Amino acid sequence: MNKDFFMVIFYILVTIIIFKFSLYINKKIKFTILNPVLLSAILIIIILKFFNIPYSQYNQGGKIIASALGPIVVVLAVPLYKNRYNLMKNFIPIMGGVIVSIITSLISVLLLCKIFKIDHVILLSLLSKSITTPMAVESTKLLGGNEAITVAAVVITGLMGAAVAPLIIKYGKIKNNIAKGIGIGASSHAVGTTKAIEMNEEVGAASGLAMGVTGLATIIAIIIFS
Amino acid sequence: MNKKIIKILIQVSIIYIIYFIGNFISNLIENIVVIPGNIIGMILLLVLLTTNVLKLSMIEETANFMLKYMGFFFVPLTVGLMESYKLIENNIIQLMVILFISCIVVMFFTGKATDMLISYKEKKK
Repeated sequence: MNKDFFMVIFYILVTIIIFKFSLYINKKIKFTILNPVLLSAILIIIILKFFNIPYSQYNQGGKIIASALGPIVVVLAVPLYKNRYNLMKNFIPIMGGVIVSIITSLISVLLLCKIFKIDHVILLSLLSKSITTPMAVESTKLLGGNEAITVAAVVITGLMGAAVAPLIIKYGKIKNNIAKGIGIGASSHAVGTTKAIEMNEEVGAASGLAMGVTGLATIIAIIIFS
Repeated sequence: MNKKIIKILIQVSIIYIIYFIGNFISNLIENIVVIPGNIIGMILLLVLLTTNVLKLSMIEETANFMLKYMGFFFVPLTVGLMESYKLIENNIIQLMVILFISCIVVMFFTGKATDMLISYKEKKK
């Protein structure tokens, strides 16, 4: 028991140190693709591979860190609260944006999977890739896809979203802070929201809101149409 | 120093209690609609703040800290890709292309649509 406990603490500490280091690197080289989350994960994977440590062992500590993800989503209510007047004022544009996100997500996945001749089960597992993990898993269950593939797709989508967000906003000429946040949150859920919060509080608030609303709307749409 | 630790502990407890209540409600309504406990917790916290039952100052420091380092908590899940990628190994390149294009398309059209709707609304005034 003592040895296990020590290992748990050890893996948590390693993750903290590597994340701190990644934040530092990210500040030094302004290269958005290599966001701190991705950089940390790559470094940890390299270390685990190098010392031949299985993921399940690392995850003893990892799952304790990940268990805080629930309360973190709860705390997203804080930026939402601070920006509530501005968000309420734009209720209709926000809902419009969310509807656009669900339609574009559905069409793009269906179309691209058709082009690349992707297996039907994988297609079903990708449909909910833009929404937050627990909701995505439920959607995939309802659709009859593979849950593990969904989790992988959700994480990859989040990382991609966080990486491309500044470029999409710049070259897409998206000017309004709320619109930026809705775009990020609706496409790349909580991982994207970490980037949105970095931009500023209003973008973060809108992103957190979009994440919740898009997830709910997706599940409701699936229940209705399937 | 001690006071500060107690304060943080209280703040963390409040956040976790709201999260647990969210999970509890989520389980209750599971058969009707699936809403994750964390999303219900988020709605609950928002309601508590807007109705002034809970003052922002009662959780603000901890909330800000958690939001600032939010990315950290996603690291283990991302490390998990070293296992789960095996499932998609066969068409990894196609899937990466699909996810990438789809992500860009969704983000751009959603952001742009919202942007246009907001400026349309403001022009009308």
